[in-house]
Amino acid sequence: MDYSDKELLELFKTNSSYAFNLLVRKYQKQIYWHVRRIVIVHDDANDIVQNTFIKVWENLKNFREESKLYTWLYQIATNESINFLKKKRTKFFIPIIDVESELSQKLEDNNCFSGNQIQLKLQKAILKLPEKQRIIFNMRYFDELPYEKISEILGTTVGGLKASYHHAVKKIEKFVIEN
Amino acid sequence: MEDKTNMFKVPDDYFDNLPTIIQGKCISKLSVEKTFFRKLFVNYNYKVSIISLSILLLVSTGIIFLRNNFSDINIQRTEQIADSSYFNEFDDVDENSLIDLLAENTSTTTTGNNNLQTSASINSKYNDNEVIVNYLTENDNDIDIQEIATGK
Repeated sequence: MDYSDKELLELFKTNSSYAFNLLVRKYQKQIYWHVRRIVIVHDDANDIVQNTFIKVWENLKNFREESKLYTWLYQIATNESINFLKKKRTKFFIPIIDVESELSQKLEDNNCFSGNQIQLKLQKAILKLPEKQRIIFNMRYFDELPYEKISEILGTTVGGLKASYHHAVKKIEKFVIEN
Repeated sequence: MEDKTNMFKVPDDYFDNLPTIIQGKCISKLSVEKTFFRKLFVNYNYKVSIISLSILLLVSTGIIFLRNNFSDINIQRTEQIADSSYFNEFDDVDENSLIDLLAENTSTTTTGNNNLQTSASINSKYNDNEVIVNYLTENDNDIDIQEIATGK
């Protein structure tokens, strides 16, 4: 049985473990793929997803139902991913470009990526984008989220998101043509 | 959407096991917190309460001591400042001018106290006192000028 967010939250008040298990099962794939596209490596994505759901578990009793559960989950996962990349940069003293090029190299690893050459080129082009533009592009292109939802998650205006997405598409096109 | 996500490789049965792993971590985290608090407040209740009470006592005593010390120091400093400023006012006063002032005062006091006396006796006493004061001033004597001036 597929529970709605409201039903899950109601169930959480009476049977928290069961409701939380259902919540993880409902959103794990969406959250995992969202995180995986940002950090590329499975082990890192796995850690971030686990941390995300642990935070959800800890704070679900205080969750205000004014905002949507789905939006809240995406917000936590996005922040965790961004913080992970920040920590990686400061830990190894790597500038932004080097982190992205390191991730780009990992894409070529057979254990990481299973797509064809065109998909690989697309991923490499996405990794050339600035961090926030990359997240916006992923959410719009892969997750197919409407601008309004992305706006709620990232706290950016719809106009700003549209402009960012447009610039990202142009940059990707340019990269694909040049390479 | 499914085609787009399948670009990355994921271990087999990953999504089947993930909820169990996450829930296991949540429970272990909760039990770690519970054990910590249990150790603190249940198993070591007696010891913890004694330690925390003594720490509290030490801290409060320290605070009271510091507060008192600071207020004493402040009072002392204020007094010092007041004293120094009071005495500084008299730094410029000359000893001779003080004696002159005293002599003037004694003359007025004497006249005020002996209203019933005749003007002749007043003048003679005044002259006597003036002579004594002048003598003492010249010889730098330690005898109380006031006493002599009032005739005690």
